[in-house]
Amino acid sequence: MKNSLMILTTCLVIGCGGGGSTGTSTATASSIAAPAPAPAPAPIPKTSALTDNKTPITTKFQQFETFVSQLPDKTAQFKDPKIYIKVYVTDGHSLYLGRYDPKTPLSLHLPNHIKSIKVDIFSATSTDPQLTEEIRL
Amino acid sequence: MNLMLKLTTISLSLIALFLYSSTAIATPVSIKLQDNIAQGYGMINLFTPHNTSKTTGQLNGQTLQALREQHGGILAFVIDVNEAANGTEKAASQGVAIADATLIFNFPGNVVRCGKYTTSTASLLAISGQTTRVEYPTLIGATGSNLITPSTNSDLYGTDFSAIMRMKLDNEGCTQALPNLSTLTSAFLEIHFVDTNTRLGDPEAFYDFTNGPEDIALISTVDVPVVEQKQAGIAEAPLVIAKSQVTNSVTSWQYYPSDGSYYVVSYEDKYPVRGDYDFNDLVVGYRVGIGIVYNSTLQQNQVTSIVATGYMIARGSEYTHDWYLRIPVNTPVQGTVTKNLFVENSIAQVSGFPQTQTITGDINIQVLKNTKQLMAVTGQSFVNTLAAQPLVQGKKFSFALNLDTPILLSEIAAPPYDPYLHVNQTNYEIHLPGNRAQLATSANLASDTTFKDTNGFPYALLAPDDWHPPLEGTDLGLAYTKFIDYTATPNNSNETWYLSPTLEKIKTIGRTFWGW
Repeated sequence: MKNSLMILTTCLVIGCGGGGSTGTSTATASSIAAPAPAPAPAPIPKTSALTDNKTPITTKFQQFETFVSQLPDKTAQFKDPKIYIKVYVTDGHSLYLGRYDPKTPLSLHLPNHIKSIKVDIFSATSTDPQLTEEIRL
Repeated sequence: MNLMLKLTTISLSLIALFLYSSTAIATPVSIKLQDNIAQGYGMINLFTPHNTSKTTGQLNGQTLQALREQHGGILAFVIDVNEAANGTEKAASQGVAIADATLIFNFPGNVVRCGKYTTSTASLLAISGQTTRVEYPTLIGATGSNLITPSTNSDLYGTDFSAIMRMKLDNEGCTQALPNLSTLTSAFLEIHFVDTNTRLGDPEAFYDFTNGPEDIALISTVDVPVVEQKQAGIAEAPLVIAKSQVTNSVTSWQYYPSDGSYYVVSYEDKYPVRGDYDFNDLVVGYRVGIGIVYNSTLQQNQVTSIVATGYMIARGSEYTHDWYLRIPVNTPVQGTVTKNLFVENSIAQVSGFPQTQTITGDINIQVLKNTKQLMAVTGQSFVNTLAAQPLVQGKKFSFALNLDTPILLSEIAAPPYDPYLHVNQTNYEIHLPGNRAQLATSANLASDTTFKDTNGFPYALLAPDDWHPPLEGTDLGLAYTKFIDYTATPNNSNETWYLSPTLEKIKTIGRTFWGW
């Protein structure tokens, strides 16, 4: 069925082009009465099917995007040298969980619809702060 | 004379009895107890061995005193953690955290309580209803750790007991100076696990106690090194703070795409012939965790382990395939990978699993072999791609690769890595665009680096786990009408095309179903 549709579409396109060309030729042939100009054919609506479309070989099919995020340096606010971080999306799922190292950029690979992440920074020392920040991507 | 002989005989008998008793008490074995910890709470009678214990009869104060002396003044317990339910918990790694633990010693006319304890690991956790994290001692274990203790008389022999808790019995740990335990009338261990705020995800979800129950045993000094050397489950647990004896914990885990979501990769398997674009010939969900340690000398992150988990989601093909996950690396690696394949909706593994394999050079792991056999419905060619077909759950897989020598994090390629098919009938490999064929016997080895058809479309597509496969024979572009616009002119309105399906053209199979 899809093949049939493609062939039909192809024929119509060729037919239209051929008709136009013939019409031009006909108009230059003075010995033949010019027919009434045919109404411009309605453009064949392309479907959204991949079968009906082509895309450049360079097209990238990326439903995920890579973000290299430099974490905010909050170490000065902590007394405990062992600081931990949880980087996560809003549903709580972790992207990174463990040692906090603001010097090393964090590489994330997120679906296109994720536009922000959250960061918890904490330590085992009760007098240290527990920070939560949202980062827009 | 007779009297002297009798006295001598009695004396010798007493000496023999003493020696026997001393010998028996000097070498107590590990004893599994009858009571367990259920739903995060246990009141464990220390005088009642488990009905399967090799130690028969009631225990008593002398037993506990002997263990106390054997351990140099403490009592030690070992727990069989049984919590493979939430977060990143799995058979290979699961955990709980201890809120409090108290030994209750009942002497004639006196009660002594001891509430100081230590474990080998800890984590920072928020309790239920809160978000502030506090450090708690943790117990981590694994199913199938199968301890081999020095003595087969130990109740730990061949079991999954994994996490040791040491109870202090000194003046600091107890309400008063603790006498010799031989005169005890009864003794109990009361223990509460931490009720973590699982809504926060890991680490709280990992260290929750929703599954259980946990068996508990008195452990002898003979078995302690065996358990501590095994470090069952620790290498794959999140946010482990090593307290003692722990050497192979990672300092950080990085998850792709996250610890609770998956990449969904789908294939057109007619390659190099253009297919019907339904992108459901094989559909697999997977995620990857990178275990990282910080090398303070190099001042760089190094990778010690790589774990992956995933599921078969749908199979709409007459062909059968093998599915691989390759993690490209710039530096050759050496390590050991353990592969698991689970029966649908079960913690039981498929016959022949787990499998252990040595990795040398590249990380290129065959995860699924013969997909048609692995995901089949009797009398049907396809699974989870036909409109009228009831949904079925597919197999779950996981693997854990432990590297012999850590490599720099920067030496590992960026995600989503290289999830690929080998189609058995055609002998072609199918990769995401930009990758190369890998297998020496493949028909397209090193001959195709685009993996795109004559229309410019790929043979493999990666999507978030919100994506549902099109119905059998349904063009992806008709199931997701924004897709073609996205390929032509990507913009904010069409880049999330996978969230807007035409419902009657897809097989609705949500993550909560296939990701059982």
